Amino acid sequence: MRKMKILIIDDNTTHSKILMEEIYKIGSPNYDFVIISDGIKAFDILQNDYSYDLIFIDIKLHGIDGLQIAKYIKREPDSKNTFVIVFSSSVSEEDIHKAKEIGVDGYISKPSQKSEEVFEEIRRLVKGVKKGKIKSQRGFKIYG
Amino acid sequence: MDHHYGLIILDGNDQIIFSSPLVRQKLYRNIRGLNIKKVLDTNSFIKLSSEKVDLKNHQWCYLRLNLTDNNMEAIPCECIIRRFDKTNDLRFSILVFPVFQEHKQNKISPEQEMKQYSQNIFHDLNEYLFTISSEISKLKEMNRDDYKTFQESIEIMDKNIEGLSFLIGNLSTYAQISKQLNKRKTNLYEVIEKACNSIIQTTKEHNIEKLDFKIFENGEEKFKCEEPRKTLLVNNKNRLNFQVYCDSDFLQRVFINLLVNALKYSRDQKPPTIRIDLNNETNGYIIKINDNGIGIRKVDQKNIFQRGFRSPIAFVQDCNGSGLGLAISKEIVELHNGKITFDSKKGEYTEFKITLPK
Repeated sequence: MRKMKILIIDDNTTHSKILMEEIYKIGSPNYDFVIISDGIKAFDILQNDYSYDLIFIDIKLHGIDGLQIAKYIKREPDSKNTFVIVFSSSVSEEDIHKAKEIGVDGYISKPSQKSEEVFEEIRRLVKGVKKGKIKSQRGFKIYG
Repeated sequence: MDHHYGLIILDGNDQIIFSSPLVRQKLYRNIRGLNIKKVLDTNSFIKLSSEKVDLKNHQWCYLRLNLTDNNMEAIPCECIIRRFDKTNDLRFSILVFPVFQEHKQNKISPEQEMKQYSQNIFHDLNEYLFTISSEISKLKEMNRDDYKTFQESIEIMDKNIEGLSFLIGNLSTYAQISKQLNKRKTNLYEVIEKACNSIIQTTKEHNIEKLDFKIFENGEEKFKCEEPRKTLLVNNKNRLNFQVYCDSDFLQRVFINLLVNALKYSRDQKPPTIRIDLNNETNGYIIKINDNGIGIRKVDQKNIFQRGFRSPIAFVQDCNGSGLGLAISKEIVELHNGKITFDSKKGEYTEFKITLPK
């Protein structure tokens, strides 16, 4: 079975690792993770590799707004079907609105206390995307 | 600051391999495949300032340009050109920031302003808390014998708690600043000593291993610290000379903010050198805080005391920050009938000078 490729773009690598560990809890070994903390390097990687199944992206990155990257992914024909989730501490309505306009598939606010429910929802989402049950561009959803 | 950045990515031969929609929109065309210098030279929509671009020797540099919007109005922008390596192939990226403009009257209401600050602050608080609580739950689940993971977790939490307490310190000052000051006759040394100690403790958060920290009194060296996280104890007999009528908690916050900036914006390749000069002069006490950090660019100099201002450089250097620190500091110094000024040269030093009446 093909491994699911997940890209996490977050300048706080501790957060990326937490997310990765939580997804690993699904139990199946079929996940490949790429963690990037530099938004501009993420651009570079995305120019050459369109094979990601799921991308988590933070908004506030060093040097660049993560929504710009999300916008790019959703505009390019090769990557527009990739499932993109914004994973951010921002709760500004403006950011959520922008994310929706760009056409990302969902928005998850980083919980201020590590919450089992939020991660349970993320695991459900990952499993759904993996099995092809949840497809990109079915509309915008706020998770958690 | 509005977060719409244009982005141009170049390959090793200065050919544009990517331009973001904002840039394409501003230029009315796709510039993929063109040479950046040609685009900058020939495009009337982009006007470069006199600042030279030296891509060879720097990780990143700046230029200012004017982009024209749909109404043919020129928007002054700043670019950060950043270089990064990819299998020995040098690449550059250009980020375009609209220049920070003072809040125009009627444009942004105090309520909106307040909302923006609280969103920024919420973001930073949430980041710290999420990390700490995740580490705690990791500790709860982990194997008790795994000492290395345990140690790592504690360190991550420690760093985040330091960041958190700094932010909360600034917030609490901000919340009380309109309140009447609780002024008492205090020794300035005591205030500075407390601030220095709390800063020397936070060197860990900024990953600083070496430090060159000195305090001078009327030109004479009184204290030296090279080991981060060493406690500063000023000799008692010095304490008599600098009596100030002040609210020591507030004043301490000023020194903490200035010192934290000196550490935060230090240059990577050099250990931070911080020198505090205390001078007892006839018209008051003059305190200078000098560092060998990245300096403040000319274009940012008029804005640094404004609430909510963050230089694009802060984006490259360090992401967190509420943009409140210097604004608060200025307010506090002025509430003490003092004055705060600074002098800085990009890439060399910054020196803040505080004058307090006797």
